[in-house]
Amino acid sequence: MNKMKMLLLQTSFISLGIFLSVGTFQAIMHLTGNTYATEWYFALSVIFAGVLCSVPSLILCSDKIKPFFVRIILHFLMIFAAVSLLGWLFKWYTGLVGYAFVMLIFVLVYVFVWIMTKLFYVREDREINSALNSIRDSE
Amino acid sequence: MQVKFEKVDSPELEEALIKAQSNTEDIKAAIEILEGGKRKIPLIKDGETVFGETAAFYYIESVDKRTFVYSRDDCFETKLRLYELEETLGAYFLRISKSMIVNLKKIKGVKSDLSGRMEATMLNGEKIVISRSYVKEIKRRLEL
Repeated sequence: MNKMKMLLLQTSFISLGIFLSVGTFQAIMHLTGNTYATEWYFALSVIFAGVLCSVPSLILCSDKIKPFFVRIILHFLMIFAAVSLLGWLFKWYTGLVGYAFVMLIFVLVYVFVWIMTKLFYVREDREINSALNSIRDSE
Repeated sequence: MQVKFEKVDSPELEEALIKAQSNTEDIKAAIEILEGGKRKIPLIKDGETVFGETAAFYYIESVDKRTFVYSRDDCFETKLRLYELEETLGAYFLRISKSMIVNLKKIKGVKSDLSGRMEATMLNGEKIVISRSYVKEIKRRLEL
């Protein structure tokens, strides 16, 4: 997988994660008799957020920064800053409580993306290993 | 492709001629089966030229414009370049980075980390890195 494909994959997962989180929240609000309406530009802002938040993934591919968990921490902080900025620009939150709620969603999405990425790699590894089993030399 | 079989009386007369427009992966695989993995190429070990069976190669690596061939527990040098070996070795030999070719039959297993880096463990326990950009070709070669 090249870097462009990885960025597209990350963008898709991030956008999907935000849509799922907000969608679930809206469903809960609706079922409890409340409403949570989003602005007309919400869908576009989520896709934009997906693109912007996937770019720091390039830091994960850099072998210059070791060990890997340092890259993850840097990656998390960069995306945290990006989400804070985007939230302020697109008015995803008002006040500290709103900000804390958006950040909670962000953390959930962040974990969701990593779980999905890991599952994707595990499935791919399993497929390759299964195919290798049938051609492997016996030693 | 039309295939003809002609019975001969002695092993010395046994031969196969493949007429095709291009040397595809299927044809390379057929050649490898017919040759029984007995194809040999010249290698250099301690200044001496020896012939090594390609089927015993684990991986081939290019370092500072020199090409090294690794077997289970030995290392040889060859005058051949990586791209030349890629052409001549069998269908199970595959480029996994700019500087490395691996024998798929000698891979014990692969594992990806979260950074997307794929690591292959060879049958002798050695670990080599597979570049992500070559994973698609590996899957294609394995018909996945």
